[in-house]
Amino acid sequence: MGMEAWKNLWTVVFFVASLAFYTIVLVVGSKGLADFKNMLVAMVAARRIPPGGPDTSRRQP
Amino acid sequence: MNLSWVDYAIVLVYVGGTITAGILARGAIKGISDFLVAGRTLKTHMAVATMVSTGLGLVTVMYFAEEGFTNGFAPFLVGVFSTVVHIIIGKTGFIVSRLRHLRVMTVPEFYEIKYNRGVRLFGGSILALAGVLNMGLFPILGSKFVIGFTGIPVDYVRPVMIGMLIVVVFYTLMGGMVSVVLTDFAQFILLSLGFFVATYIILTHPDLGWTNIVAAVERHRGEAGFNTFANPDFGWIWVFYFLSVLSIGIVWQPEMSRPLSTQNSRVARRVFWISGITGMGRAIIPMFFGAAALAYFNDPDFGSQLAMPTMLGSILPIGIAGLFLAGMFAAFMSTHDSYLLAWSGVIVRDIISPLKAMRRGSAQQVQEDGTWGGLTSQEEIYWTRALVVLLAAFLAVFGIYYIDKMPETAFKFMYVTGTIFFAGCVGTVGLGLYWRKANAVGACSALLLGAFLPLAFLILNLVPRYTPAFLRYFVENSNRANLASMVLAGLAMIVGSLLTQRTHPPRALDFSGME
Repeated sequence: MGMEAWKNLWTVVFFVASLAFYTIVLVVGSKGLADFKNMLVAMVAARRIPPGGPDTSRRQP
Repeated sequence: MNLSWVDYAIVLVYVGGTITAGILARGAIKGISDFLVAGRTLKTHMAVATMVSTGLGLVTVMYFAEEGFTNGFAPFLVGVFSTVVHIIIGKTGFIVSRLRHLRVMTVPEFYEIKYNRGVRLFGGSILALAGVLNMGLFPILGSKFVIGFTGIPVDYVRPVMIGMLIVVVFYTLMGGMVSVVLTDFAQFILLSLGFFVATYIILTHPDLGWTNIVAAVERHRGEAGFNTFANPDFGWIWVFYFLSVLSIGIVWQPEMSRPLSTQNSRVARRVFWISGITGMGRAIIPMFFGAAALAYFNDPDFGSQLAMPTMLGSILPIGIAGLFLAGMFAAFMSTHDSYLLAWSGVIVRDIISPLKAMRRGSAQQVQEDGTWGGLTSQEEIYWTRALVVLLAAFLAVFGIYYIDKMPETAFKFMYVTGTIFFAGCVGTVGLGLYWRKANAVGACSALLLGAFLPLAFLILNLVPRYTPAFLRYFVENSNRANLASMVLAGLAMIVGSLLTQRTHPPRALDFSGME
């Protein structure tokens, strides 16, 4: 394979690689945002629960 | 100094935000499986984001950019192979499905299930050695990026590295794998955005652009800058080695911990093939930045590690530069916390805890809390945190000592250190999972012979006059040492196991009901 062929090959590979990368980032980023939010909410909730678990004696009427 | 106060403010806001997240994550840690594999609750998209982020650390960007600066477009094949092999693994579930089905947290845990506690201890020691050496250049390369990008004088490379390490250690100690997952996601978004903008600016810059970059690579590197097989740093031996290592490389603990953190084997496989699609971009985009730096400075003798960050620091506008630096700092944090957690976890669970279990004479089976009869879950967390601090201190010292003594590029160093463990895994994990005659003797032989040549390469290049004649061929080029070690380890497993089937009968594994 000559040098010109290698140049053309890497040009195609670079643009295909970039396209594939940013497409996955867009899809995973948008769909994963909900999971990310849920994890943060769960962490905040976990901090509010005392070490012995939730206090069930103080039930709302 | 290349950056304005706006850029620094963006970085500070990001660091402040992640530290807050780390403090919040502390409340979510109830046991060792929360700390090391996020309680095995990760869904596909979070797992993909976190896996891509781990494979795209600041150090990865640095060593791929160095390859682009030094070898032009020839190393692009790294990205192509990475994508192809990851997609195949994701679609077939090779290794990953079976390990996930066995519910192990580290690969040496599999050694205790398949072989015995002694193999776990030996394999854990080799994995820890390979992992810690592999990570040895991460902090110093991260610091070099910041120095080059911001224009801070090179004399400050050590204090900057220590400051960055302190932030990372504090963050990792707070939340374990839960905090790792959160930074990974933030890095995934920030760094990808930074990559996109930087690529656009490079392609439209009057002194750069695709045509100018190709011309610069041709002028300075000739055919070796394009033809992977004509480049002495790559060639056919490298091709065979790299395809083999990619097939077995999924056992690398920081990478493996992501599929092991997923809900089930099916999600683990999906995570692999989706993240595999990004493999080309993760390698090729930073290599393109490195090649662009060669065109920008038009000087092949400009420092190969400082060229890319110095170029980006000069051409990115205010605000974008801050965003890019925050993304890169996120990448630094994400890789460091993942790796620190992975290697300290391996040392605690696969070396310290088994030693204690052996002294107690406890049964070789997993307990309800995920421990193996040595340290308790809380003791494992305590020791893992202590080791995170010790490892960070070691990395700082090692990086300063070794950075100017590397025999080849940083990319090659990463693979030769990884192969200390990967080679043994050809036999212990590859054959161990799929060949029912694999036994403990074969596993020990594979681990020992697999580690020998990569270690010889690293040590003898520091003291070349002690190299024996029969090793000279392997010590001259890491590709030869790496490929030979993988072949040796595979053969060692086969021969060792076949010769000792009666004295060491192999254990059977149960994969019934696997998804």
